[in-house]
Amino acid sequence: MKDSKKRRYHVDQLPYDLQLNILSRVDVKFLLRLKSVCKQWRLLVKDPIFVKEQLHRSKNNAHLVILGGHECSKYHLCLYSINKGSWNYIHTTNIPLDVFRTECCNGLICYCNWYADLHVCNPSTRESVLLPKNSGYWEALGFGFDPSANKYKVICISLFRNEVLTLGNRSWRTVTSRPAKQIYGPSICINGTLHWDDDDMLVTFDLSTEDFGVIPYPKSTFKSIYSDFAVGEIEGCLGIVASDAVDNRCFDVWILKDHNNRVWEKERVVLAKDTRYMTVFPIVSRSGDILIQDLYCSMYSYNRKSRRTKTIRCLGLSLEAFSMEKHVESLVSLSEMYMDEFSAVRKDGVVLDACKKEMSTALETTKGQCALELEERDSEPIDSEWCDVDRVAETNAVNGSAVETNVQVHEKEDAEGLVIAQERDMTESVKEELLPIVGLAASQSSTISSEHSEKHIMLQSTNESASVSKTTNRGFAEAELFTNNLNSTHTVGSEEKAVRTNESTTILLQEQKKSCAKALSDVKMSQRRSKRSIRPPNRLNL
Amino acid sequence: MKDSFNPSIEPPKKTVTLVSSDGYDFEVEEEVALESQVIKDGFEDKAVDDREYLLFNVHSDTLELIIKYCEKHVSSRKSISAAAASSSSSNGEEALKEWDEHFISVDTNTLYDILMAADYLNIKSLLDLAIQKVADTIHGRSPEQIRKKFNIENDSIIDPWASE
Repeated sequence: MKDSKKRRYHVDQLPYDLQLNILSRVDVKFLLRLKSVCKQWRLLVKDPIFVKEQLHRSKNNAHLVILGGHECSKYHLCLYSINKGSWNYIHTTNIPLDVFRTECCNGLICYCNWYADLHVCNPSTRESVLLPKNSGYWEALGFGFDPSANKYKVICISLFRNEVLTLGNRSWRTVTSRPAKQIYGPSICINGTLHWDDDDMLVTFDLSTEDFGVIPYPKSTFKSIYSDFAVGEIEGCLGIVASDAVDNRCFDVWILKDHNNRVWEKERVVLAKDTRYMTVFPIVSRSGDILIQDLYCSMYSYNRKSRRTKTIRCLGLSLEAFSMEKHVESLVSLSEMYMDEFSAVRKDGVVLDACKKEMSTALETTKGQCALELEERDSEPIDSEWCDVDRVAETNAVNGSAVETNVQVHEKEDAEGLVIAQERDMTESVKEELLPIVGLAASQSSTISSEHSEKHIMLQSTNESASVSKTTNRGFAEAELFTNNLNSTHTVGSEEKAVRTNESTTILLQEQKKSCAKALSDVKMSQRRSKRSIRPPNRLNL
Repeated sequence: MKDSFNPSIEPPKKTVTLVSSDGYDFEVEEEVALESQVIKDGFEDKAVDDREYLLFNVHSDTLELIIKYCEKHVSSRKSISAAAASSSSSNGEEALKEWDEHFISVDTNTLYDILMAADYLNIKSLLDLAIQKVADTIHGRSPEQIRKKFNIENDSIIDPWASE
């Protein structure tokens, strides 16, 4: 009867969908921690199905992005949420303060700094991408999610040209469709359509068909009867919150219930207190609140269900210093989007194997060449060889330093974290591969230069010839030849011999280092390619 | 004919027998058993006189708890609808929530049993309750605490980048 008590249960042995359901209810900041609990959870948290489920759940729990500082962060934007009439600090993002335009969608924030660099980042996972440069000047920026293609798109609109970038791609596309009006200001993305408000109408942009369109306001006299209005998402529909021009205490909430037939629903709201020149933020949090801000910088939240207004405690920031956006925390992964580019890197095992193979063949051929060169050189007259010594030593030094700097550059790049994890892993392993080789070569040269023994040289040349898969006989013949040569120059003196020995090893070293440098530069090339599009996660707060 | 229109005379209660994995019989009212979507689906397919369900995955201890949960929910749902009909304000829903909270405050192993059984029997409200309980338990704990709490083996490879 009681044997169930003896059984040990493991949460990681639950059915996958149950685990997914459980974890999707946990807050994002804890989820990132949970990755280290076990392998299965680590994979689960990365699962696109899970990301979607989590996003769906956290949609009801929107935060605000405040473009402003916090006492604990002078240089980055902070996230706040409104709970029970007061501001709650959530965390500091990795977005610098000097941004002038932000767009939020599904937990991703697209922002533009004063140098017109466009970035997209996910403050929850601390991933950030620097978007490629477009043709330059633009007036309006849009950022949204296209559910039909499951892609995020950025659009830059100017008078002359409209360009679209799909996240994951590296180049901007020009869109032929043109908006009916010149548009400015922030966009709102609802159900795969971007909306901008304008004087006479709402300009829309369908992210899947990439066509501009127009939604007229519910009333033709809209502009004249309302002093101020704001567009936002209310209950998954397009909503306009407009304050009455005559009665300061009133505002109307218009909701576009039927997008195709343009059916608007109106709700009149009367506030208890006289609020003048209010600005409205149609941000609907878990409880369905709309934020209102008046001229005196007071903030109120209005609950549509209970029809009550609450005054929100002041944040302690000057209101000019920040603007607000609706933001939800999500695990939408940017590196996942750019994975196509790194698909080669992602299958790191395969690439590493290929790398190893390439390197080993390169080394093999180098060794072979060395052996052949030795052979050739041995047959050459001694005098000409003599002249070359200094030059070879010089080039060797240059090559050596080149390899050194290469490695340094890599370390520096790693330190700055300019590469994503996969690539980092790859570089690491390549470095691990390379360093012992360089070390080996160095140790070889040192032993040889210190010993000056003919026996050692013979052994070495034997090794080399063996590596080219030549017969050992030939190796011995070579070695003998070499020894003979050495014997013939024996009269020159032991010091000169040492130099010659060094020289032969320098050739080997030089070639080895060349191949190492080649492999390194290959890796560096791929890094550079990635560096253009991917910025590293800020690792400070991981 | 007249009886069928009189609500005061209840029809004889139909019962269903549920058999646990260790062979115990539980006789429950049909209404209570129908809380489970699986039994409800099976009910429509089965012959009328065959009213025995073998629940291979549910232990008698767990089944007892689940029947208790279903009975409570059926009875409280009735009282809530009765209160709504008589338009008298009652805090039936809040009381039920409280009861649920008390019900699910069990040790980890029992919670697992309930979770698995609710999943197997497809009782949506109970499954939701159990899942939320596990999620709340996870919330705010460190990975080490979670591993200890849920008997998870640490199989993570030591990641050189994790420390940064």
